Amino acid sequence: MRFPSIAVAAAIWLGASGMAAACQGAAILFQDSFERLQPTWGKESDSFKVVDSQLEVSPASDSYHWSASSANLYDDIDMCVTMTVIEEEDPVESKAGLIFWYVDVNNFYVFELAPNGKASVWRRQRGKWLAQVDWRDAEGANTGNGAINELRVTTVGSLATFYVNGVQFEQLEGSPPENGQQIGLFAASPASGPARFGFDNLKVTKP
Amino acid sequence: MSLAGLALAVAVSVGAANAALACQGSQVLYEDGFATLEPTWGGADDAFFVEDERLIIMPGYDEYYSALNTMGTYEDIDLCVDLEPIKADPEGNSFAGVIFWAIDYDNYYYVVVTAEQSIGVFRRQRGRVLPQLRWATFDALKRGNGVVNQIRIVTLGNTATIYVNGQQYGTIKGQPPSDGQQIGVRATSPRNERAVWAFDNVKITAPEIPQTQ
Repeated sequence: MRFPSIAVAAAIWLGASGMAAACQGAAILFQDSFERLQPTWGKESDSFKVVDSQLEVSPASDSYHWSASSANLYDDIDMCVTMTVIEEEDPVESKAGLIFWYVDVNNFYVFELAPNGKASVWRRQRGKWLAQVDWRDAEGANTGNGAINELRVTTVGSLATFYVNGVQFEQLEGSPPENGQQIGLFAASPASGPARFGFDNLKVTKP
Repeated sequence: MSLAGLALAVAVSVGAANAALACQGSQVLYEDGFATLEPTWGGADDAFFVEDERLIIMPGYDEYYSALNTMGTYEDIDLCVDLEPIKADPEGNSFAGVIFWAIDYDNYYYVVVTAEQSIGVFRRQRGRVLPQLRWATFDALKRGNGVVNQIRIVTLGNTATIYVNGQQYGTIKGQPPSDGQQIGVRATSPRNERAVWAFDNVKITAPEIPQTQ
């Protein structure tokens, strides 16, 4: 085997092991494969509905949509979801991702990935958006229409770690809720037209 | 028999079976007709007392009152309670219902109804309220004060199914306590007056799955 091949094999193996470890904890706290919209996600709408066993989120142009699951409160979590870019016209301003450390509509964090392969982390505090990690390339992200990526967020105490397809993107010290967090899903559409994202295989385990 | 007639007959049969099976299991786990206030409900006070063989809850203004029964803890249950709004806000700002999957006063699930035909299912976790089935109108609920609605909750593993007057309302998946649940009752008053709710015929049986032929 030539060295480049070894390097490629190692990269594949490392990626695979990262994937294997994601959300594989024995204690499953929540799991949703979206056979139907569980009532703890709120009401179905044109922007938020289950289609073919996948949750489709398609906010109106130049707006965002999020929903927090009211099934549980969690302490530390290891949360994974498979996210598909179903349709977008603007790979920069379309984005979607995972909500964590959710308290209420005005206080939560969100890990976002855009179809151009860049990711970021935002905090909504008292209704104001605060950048936590600026947009930058997420190594290992698949790009464009039809791209499928596994997003993962782990929170341990005040430390949150973010992964795209098993590759660590960033770590962040933040302010978790004192009495447990909710989790959720987020998507945003550009001014040029609605983007459409699919979510599936949402799983929360103990880290 | 026409297809429509057959469907109707089946529906009537299923409905009848549901109603007949409500808390009729042979293994009675708990029963209370409120001849007296059993000490396992806690002490009586001006908001919580027995009158005319019914448990009355009359929460303070803009307050809720909950009581967990300490008689025992249960695994799967078929729980039935008769609930009557004696004086509840006709616009729905007063609600009352039944607690299940309770661990303590900060961790339980509950079904609540109003006098204007609304029903909701909520979880109280760590003192926070999380909607499980958001408020909705349900025609099987009888409207108004002075009418009795039977609330029934069947828990099997991590699934809870809610019935009103024999009609299935909904099913949720949740997190039952790992070592047995308590049950209880709960009522809420609006800001401008004290609501009055009456509870009767609390009965818990071990759920029995209908035999199929």
